[in-house]
Parts: sequence; C-alpha cells; structure tokens
Amino acid sequence: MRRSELIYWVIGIFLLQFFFAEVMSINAIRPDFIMILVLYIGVTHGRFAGVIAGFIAGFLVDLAGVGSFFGLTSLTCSITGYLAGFLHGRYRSWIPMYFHAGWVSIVFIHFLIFSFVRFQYTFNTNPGIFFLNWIFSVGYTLGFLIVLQFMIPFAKVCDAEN
Amino acid sequence: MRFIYLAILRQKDHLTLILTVLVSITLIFTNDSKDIQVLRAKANDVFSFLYTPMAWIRSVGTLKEEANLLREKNLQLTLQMETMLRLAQENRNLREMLNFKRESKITLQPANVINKGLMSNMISLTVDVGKLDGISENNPVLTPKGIVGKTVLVGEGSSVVQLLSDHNFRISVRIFPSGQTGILRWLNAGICEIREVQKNAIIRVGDSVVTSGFSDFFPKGIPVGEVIGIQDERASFHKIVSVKMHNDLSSLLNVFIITKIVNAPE
Repeated sequence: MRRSELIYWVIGIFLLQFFFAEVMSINAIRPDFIMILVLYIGVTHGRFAGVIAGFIAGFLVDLAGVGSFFGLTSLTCSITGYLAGFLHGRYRSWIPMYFHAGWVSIVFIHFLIFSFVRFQYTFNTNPGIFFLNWIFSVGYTLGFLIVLQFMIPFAKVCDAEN
Repeated sequence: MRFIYLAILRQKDHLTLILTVLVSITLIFTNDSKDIQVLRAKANDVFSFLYTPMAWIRSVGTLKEEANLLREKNLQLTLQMETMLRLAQENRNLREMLNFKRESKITLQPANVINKGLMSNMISLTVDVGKLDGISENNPVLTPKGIVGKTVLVGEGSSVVQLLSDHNFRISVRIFPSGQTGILRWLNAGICEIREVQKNAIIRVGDSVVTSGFSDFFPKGIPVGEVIGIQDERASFHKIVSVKMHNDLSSLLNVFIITKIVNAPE
C-alpha cells in the first residue's frame, strides 16, 4: 500500500467513525473502526508505522471530544499498533491459527486497557459488569473485524505488502 | 556518535512506543492544564463545524417525529398549566406566610447535540453553543427529564459535555422523601449507584432522586432518577441505592445548559 493510499484510508476510516459510529451504537457501545485501521496498519507496515498511526489516530479521536481521560485513546491505539506490528510478515511463516489468535488477542488487550482505565469504579465495585462491558466492546468491534476478513482478509493484505 | 545513531535506528520501534506512551500518559495526567484545555476547545470548534451538516441531516430526519411529540406534549402541558398556576399561587401565599424569601432562579440556554464523540463508549457529547452564548466550564446540562452532565470544555461556538455515564462524573444527590444524601456514580446501562447512604435510612423503591444543592455547580432540586433497588453493604454502615436515570443518554438531541443561578438575598 502506497503512502498516499494509506493517508486516504486513514481519512476515510476517521470520517466513517466520525459520522457513522453513532448510528451503529448499541447500548452506548460502538464499533471502533479506528482500532481496526491501526491493527491493519500494524500488520501490513510493521511496528513503527503501527505506533505512529495509532498515536495520531488516537490523538484525533481524543481531540474530537472526550469528557475525561484525554490521551487514553492515543495510548491504547499506540500499544495496539505496536503489538500488531509483531504480526507483520508472519502470515506465511506462522501457522494461520496462531496468526489469527494473535490479532484477536490484540483486540482483547486494546479494550482491556481502555476499559480498565475508563471503568475503574465498575472494576472495583462490580467486576461482573466490568467484564460484560469489556466483552461487549470487544465483541462488537471483533464482529466487524471478522466480517472484514471476508472482504479484505489479512492474508491478502500481507501478501500484497510482501 | 554513529553507534548511538545506529542503535536508535535499530530500536526505533520500541523507542517510538515508549515516547508515544509517555506522551499519552502525560496528556492523561495534564487534562486540567490550561494549554491542553485551549487546544481541545479549538479542536472541538473545528470538529463541531465538520459535524454540523450531519447534525442538520439528523435533525431534519427526526423533525416530523419531534413535531408530533411536541404537539402531544403541548396538549398535556396546557392541561397541567391550570393546576400549576393555582398551585404556584398557593405556594406564593404559603411562602409569604412562612416569610420564606430565599429562592433561586436559573437562566437556561438551549443547545443542540451535534456529536457524541468517537470513542467506543459514549461518555461525552458536543453541543452547538459555547463562550459566545454565555457558556462556561462546569455549567450543568439537563433535559426536561433531569440532569445529563456538565460542560467540561468550552470553545467559541461549541462545548464538550461530560455525561453522567462518564465514570469520572460524580454528583451529590438527595433522596426524597427520606432526605438522605449521597454521591451518585454511573454503573451501567442507565443505572447509577449511591453508596454513602446510612443503613438506618428509610428508602423505598420508587423514591425520587434529585440534586442536593451541596455542589458548587448544580442547583438543588433538579431531577436525576428514581430508586429501583436498595442493598445492604456487608461490613459497612452504609447501604447501596440503585437509581434508574430518567434520561436515555444515547438518544439525546436537544439539551439545556444552566448558564446562571441567581440566589435572591435572604
């Protein structure tokens, strides 16, 4: 993927999140397209690009309006980009199951950090509700990621980059 | 020198991560810094400008439904007004009899919700009024059903509202008719908790919860929700009161912001 193409993708996904995430909101939880984008960038371009893209995208999300914890999304997205970078170029060298388990784990870690910081009170008082919140946030975004695998699978983008 | 440069180059992935994590953590811990607030307010003005067409389309889409609701509400209010006028007169008379002079008046600024943030959990929203409309930080935000949140960031023409659903949001409330007070915190899906309530307090399901007035920002008596459950906290002198919010925070289109609270001299 060329750099200009990458910029278009970033702008496109950001606008998608900006305008349509609200429409898809279920019980005040929305799909995180920005996280999906960072994951793809990390997998296709490596750790460095993943961290930079994650930080910039997360910072933009924070700037677009958060009540508290300004900087949390840039933190989680940077870590996601970094972790996704470990999967860069591994699709052919790893057993596919490990590769897929890898990116699924990254989604879980992303939302665990996010939920742990954001829902500290719930974690302390009602771990069950915290767990449900976390799982639902993961599940919703993961659902979109799985659907995306039928359209733009990691296998295809990894091959394109190699 | 060349060796250091090469080492940095080799480790650039890790160093970039460390740098971005440090910057992010610094941002989290300097949320209240004036510079950060200014940056966020300016960015918010830009984003709210971008979101204006979408907000307009959404408001047009709901206009018909809203008009029908308003007509229905208008009829109900007209019917209620007669009774209220009579009660207001009776209230005035009783206040005069009790020589009760202290009363507060609030100035409201209507606002449209133009954005609900981009995060995967809804914790804030952006409204189309700002400093130019007399809004300042920590102004209470409410709907006719009750409290919604408070302004945390004010730009020239837009403001960010921290919703009750933000886990950092706390509000001092009073439960009626018992008069018990406590701190309300968001729990999940429209349910909040009050934890500092004395165990011997008589609280029943259905009791109303309103703002206590102890806060510097929220005037007293604004509805918050209704008690839906009471639970004794083990090994504590307190009980936990579960409160169902009156407002559905995910479907807010219009809100009001209290810009001024005037307390008449006693």
